[in-house]
Amino acid sequence: MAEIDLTILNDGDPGTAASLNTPMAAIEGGINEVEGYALRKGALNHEHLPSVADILTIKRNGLNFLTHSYTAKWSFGNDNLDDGLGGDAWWVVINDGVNGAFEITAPGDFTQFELGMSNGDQYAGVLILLNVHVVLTQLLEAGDPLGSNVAAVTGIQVRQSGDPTWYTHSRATRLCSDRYTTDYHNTYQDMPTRFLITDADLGTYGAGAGIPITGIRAVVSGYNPAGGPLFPYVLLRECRMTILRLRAGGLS
Amino acid sequence: MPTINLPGFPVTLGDTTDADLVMENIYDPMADSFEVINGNLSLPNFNVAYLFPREAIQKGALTGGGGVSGTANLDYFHDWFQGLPANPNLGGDFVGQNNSRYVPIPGGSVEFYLPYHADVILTWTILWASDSLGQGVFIRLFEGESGAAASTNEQVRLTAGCASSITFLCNVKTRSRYWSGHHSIEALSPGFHSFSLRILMDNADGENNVSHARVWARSMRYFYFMQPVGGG
Repeated sequence: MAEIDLTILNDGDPGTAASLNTPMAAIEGGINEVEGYALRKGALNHEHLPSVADILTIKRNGLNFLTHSYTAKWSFGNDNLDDGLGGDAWWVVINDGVNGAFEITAPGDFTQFELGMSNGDQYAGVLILLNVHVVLTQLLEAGDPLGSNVAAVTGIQVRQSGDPTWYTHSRATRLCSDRYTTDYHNTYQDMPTRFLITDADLGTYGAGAGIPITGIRAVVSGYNPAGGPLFPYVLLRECRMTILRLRAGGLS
Repeated sequence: MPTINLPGFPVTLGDTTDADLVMENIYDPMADSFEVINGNLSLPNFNVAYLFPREAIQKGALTGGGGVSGTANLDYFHDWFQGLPANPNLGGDFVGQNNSRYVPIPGGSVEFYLPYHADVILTWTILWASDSLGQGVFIRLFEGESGAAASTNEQVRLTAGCASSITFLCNVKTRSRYWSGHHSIEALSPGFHSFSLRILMDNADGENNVSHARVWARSMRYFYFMQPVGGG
């Protein structure tokens, strides 16, 4: 608490408005400007403090065994390219068509924010937890799925202010091979991703450090180790994505 | 407690002083008063130019967590699941008919006390295998105590047999799966909470289909982050 000095009134001193206002204002001002050094150890509990982390969004797909399919072709080396949606898609946003896409954008879904310690947003990082239930992966030939050893691939993409590109953060890319070459109907695997994005990551993989985040999404694709022109087909069921923002320093 | 603004101040020359008002400014728990120094100071009362020390934050005031784990082989058999109310493969399962037949898994179940409103994250790692020739072995996350537990519709995974599964063996290669899952809840209320991974074996064809499942529940962890909801 700021130091509070009060002038003692003595017997016989005249009572004036100032003699009442001055000490009251001094105490009021002191209470409203408490200094950190005035706090005792453990003085602040949850009644006094804001949160250090908040869930930005929770996305759920494939509820009640609802399956959803994707056709896209991923290959090594394209991690920092845009998704190419509308053409030969590298990636497709996870979306079961019922419960919404695994994508949030500013300003519609949230207010854009900046990572790092030296700005007013005061977010140290964004933690993304993604779980994808892969039912099966196949190759498409003339529209017909064929059994083949095809991997499912998932990724995290981030968009930043002033740049329409969705940048793939390759550290979050995961591959999951089909376990069976003789029975392609039983992939049934879970792909987990736990990914922390910091401001430094935005400099390495994104549009640049210090640029506010305006979008985050989860994407899926398929990978055919044999190569060739055929497109992989990936069938998903239950999926969940949680995006958690972690505060950096100022609790204000 | 926000920044205090004393009612009735400052007084001006010529006003008649009101002893009750002065007293309430000094001590009135229901209004702005100096009473806030009795443990009710909060962030708006602090000088924003000064960072208060970390030691001033009470341990556990912002975050908390814990978890359980197991190392045992856990075996489950078909006769525990006879006469299921609904066929879990035909859609009846996810609307709750089979909820009471799921069996909680040790090492995959946790109960904890939440001291305040908080965003909660659960993470778990579990592996299971079966000798199925086609019927599923389901593992699903439940929230709540045993009798009133609610299943979570998208937090379910299953293993099943396949055409190449031609022998009654707990085959880890072809009839198993890992599940490193997560679940998240916003602004969960203070109090005790239970979450459990539970198992159900589809017994539609009895032991002719799936007779044995083995589970390795490796961890169930929880983390929570205080949210100033209804206080703070």
